[in-house]
Amino acid sequence: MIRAEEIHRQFDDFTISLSLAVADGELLTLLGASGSGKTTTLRILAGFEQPDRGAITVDGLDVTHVAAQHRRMGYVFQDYTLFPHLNVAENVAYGLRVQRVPAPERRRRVHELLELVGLAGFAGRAVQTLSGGEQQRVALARALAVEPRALLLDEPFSAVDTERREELRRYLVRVQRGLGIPTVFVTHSRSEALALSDRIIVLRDGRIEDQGSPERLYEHPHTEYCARFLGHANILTREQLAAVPGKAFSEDTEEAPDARETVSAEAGADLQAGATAFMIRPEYLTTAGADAGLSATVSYVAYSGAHRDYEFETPIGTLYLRSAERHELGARTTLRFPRHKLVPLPPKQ
Amino acid sequence: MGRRDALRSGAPYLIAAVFVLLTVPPVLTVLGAGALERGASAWLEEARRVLAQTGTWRSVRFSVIQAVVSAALSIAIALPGAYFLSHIRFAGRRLVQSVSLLPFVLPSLIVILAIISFYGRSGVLNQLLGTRFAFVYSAGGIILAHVLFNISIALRMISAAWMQVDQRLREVSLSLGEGNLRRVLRLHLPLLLPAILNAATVIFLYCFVSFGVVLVFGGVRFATLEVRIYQAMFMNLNLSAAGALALLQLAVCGVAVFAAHRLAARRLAVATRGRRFVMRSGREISWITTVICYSYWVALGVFLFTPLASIALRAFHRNGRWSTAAFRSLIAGSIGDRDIHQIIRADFFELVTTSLAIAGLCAAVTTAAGFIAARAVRGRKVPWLDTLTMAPLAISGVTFSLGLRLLWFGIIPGPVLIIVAQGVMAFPLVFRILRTAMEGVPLRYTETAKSLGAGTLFRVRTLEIPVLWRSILNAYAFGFALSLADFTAVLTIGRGAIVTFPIAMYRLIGFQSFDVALALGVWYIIVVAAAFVAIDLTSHAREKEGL
Repeated sequence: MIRAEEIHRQFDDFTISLSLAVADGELLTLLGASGSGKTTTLRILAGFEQPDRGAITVDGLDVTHVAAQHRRMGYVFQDYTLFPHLNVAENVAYGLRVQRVPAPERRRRVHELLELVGLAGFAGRAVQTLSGGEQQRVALARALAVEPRALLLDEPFSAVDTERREELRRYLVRVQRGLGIPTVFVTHSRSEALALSDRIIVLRDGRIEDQGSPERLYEHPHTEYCARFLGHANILTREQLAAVPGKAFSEDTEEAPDARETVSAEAGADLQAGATAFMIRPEYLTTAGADAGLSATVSYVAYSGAHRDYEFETPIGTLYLRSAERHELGARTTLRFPRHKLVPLPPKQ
Repeated sequence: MGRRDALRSGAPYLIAAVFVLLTVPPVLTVLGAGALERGASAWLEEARRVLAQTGTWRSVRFSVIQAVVSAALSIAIALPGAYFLSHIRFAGRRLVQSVSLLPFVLPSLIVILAIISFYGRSGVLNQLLGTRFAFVYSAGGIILAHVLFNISIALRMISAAWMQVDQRLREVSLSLGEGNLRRVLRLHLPLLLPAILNAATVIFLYCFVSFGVVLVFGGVRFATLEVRIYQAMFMNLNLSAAGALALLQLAVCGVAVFAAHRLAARRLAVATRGRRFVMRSGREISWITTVICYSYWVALGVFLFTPLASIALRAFHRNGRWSTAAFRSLIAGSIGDRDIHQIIRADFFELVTTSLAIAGLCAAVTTAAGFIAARAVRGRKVPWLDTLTMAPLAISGVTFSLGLRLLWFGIIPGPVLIIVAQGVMAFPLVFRILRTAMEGVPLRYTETAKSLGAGTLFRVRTLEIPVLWRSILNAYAFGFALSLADFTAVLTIGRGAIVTFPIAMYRLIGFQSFDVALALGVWYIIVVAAAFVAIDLTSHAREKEGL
């Protein structure tokens, strides 16, 4: 387990201040916009940056002042960073040479690792001849070769083309689950974070904005920033919501998701506590016949294959809707709000 | 702040302190020697007298003017070449790059011999034209020699900067419909200006403190400050005057270095911008550009190398016939009734081993020091340190070497002092080569190796040296060549007891053995050229691999 307790690092115009813990076998994602401090946090965990205060422990061992080369944290950079003067096998074997693993054992381990990442026949290849995805798999094998206590991945898929990215994600999840080591994954891609993570930490200006399972964060974010960062969101103030006719609210009949009970309870409490805004995801808004809801006119349509993204002009402002249904630009309809999908948000800090 | 952070942030100061300790005491010794000898007031009186002389200010004016003109001409001639080197992948590009460096690493004595034997009154050019023009022993000769020396610096520095200009800017300019000339004037030149000014400053400093060329070609009429220091020190034996002149020279150089410091900061701003540079190959350029490109290199080749070739021509010519006698005499020890080994005061084997040993050791020490220093400040912008390490360019070789001798002779062996003197003089270049190369290797490599458990020595051995080996070799070659070519430090510190190639040539010229001096020069050129071409060509393959 990796634990960072109240780590604090001051830069000229930026401060990192947070605590986090990653359990064995857990894949934790640090998600945030550029400059939110996610890579710096990862670098502090790796030992490339020193925190001004706070402690980092690995399996209960304090490594705060241990140099990066003695921490045994596998680190994978976004642009692979394969050593250009070494071939594939030599790259993977680099850490084993540091550990003075005898040559026959080294060869066996390199072979195993290359098999694990699906590059068994590539040992003698020059790294420059590999595709981006292949290079990243070599980088992963190299990081795993030293049997790290944790795996730290800094946007490892961002330099890989979209088609390969899917494949790499599958590799990563399979390998990570197999090894059962704590893994911290940095990304600014919400879809990557939602698809891969056991848990996500959303960072903003060097602090934790919110954290939880992908589903909890997406469905029931605790802040407006988080709601918007994880996907399109309709944010409505209490006043806007009051202007929506009562007939526009529908009672949901479908089975509630796991997180719902707790959140419903929270929502009730928050509503009582006077939440100032509410969020509803575009895919939960529905269209209905005339006079069945809030009147709306289609002002923008974007076709995305499986669905369409719409913008509607309504008496309470612009609303987003995602649906497989087809509406023409300028078409008039009404919108309905499933009541339990309205997530209360606390007042802005 | 951790211990490592503290060490890292203190590194530039530590390097600066070592550097200052090595360079400042010898210079201060020379500046203050007069005061120690005759008292401070007498020194001040002498300094006032020297500064009141119109001759002093005439020398300042001449030193500045010849250096400015030399720098301007070198850059003007090098600009088209820098464009071709950075933009076009023409056949022979690598060869041009390595060979054009040759004049820079040759001893001034060889360049002087080359200019006399080609442009002199009875030189090859006058013989070919049937004329008897004589301009060598004038400001013209000085500037010609300086341009010959320094074109390669301008070529290297400007083409390197030109390669850093983001190719996409060119593409944006094309898409906006800007013509070639306007693009050069409005896009390239403003972006390159800091690099051009930087190169100009370096060349200015080299020319401003240049000694041998001015001494031979300038005579009494065209004396620079450096020559006046030499005259005051060795002819008039007036240490106070020499100290005052050296101080004046330092002041002028200080202004130039300050300007370079300001420009270096701007240069970094350009170089660190995003880049995506695509060099065009032969098929992608018009035939007219190809013709201009090759014509330029032919012309430059003629300009730079016919004087050097004329050395060989004359070395092989004896009594109106082709002969290898001069070459053979170097090993045999005599030609006619002249005892060559006695003139040189060493046999050929001793000459070669002494020269190579001093140069080899000097290059090794300088490269190691440069590597350690570049590594210590890696990934950090410390323009003041970059400027400080350029200081030896602005220090008179005569002053520095004499200071070292006055301070340490008898305590530290002569050859060691020579190695220190040559090493300090070569350090700016060696450090620059290694610093630039090291900054080009992403810090992520080091961090990846660290995450794999590699300690400092392991990283240096398995990662940094293999990735940087070309630049290390390059730095070593420069250190080696500059040491091998050094005349001032060996003469001033060795005082005749230590014989290297330039000293041997100097003695041969002094004993009217031009032919043997020329033959020695030919050997010298062949050895240095072969070394440089070999280094550049062997590293070419690695560069292709993306290193």
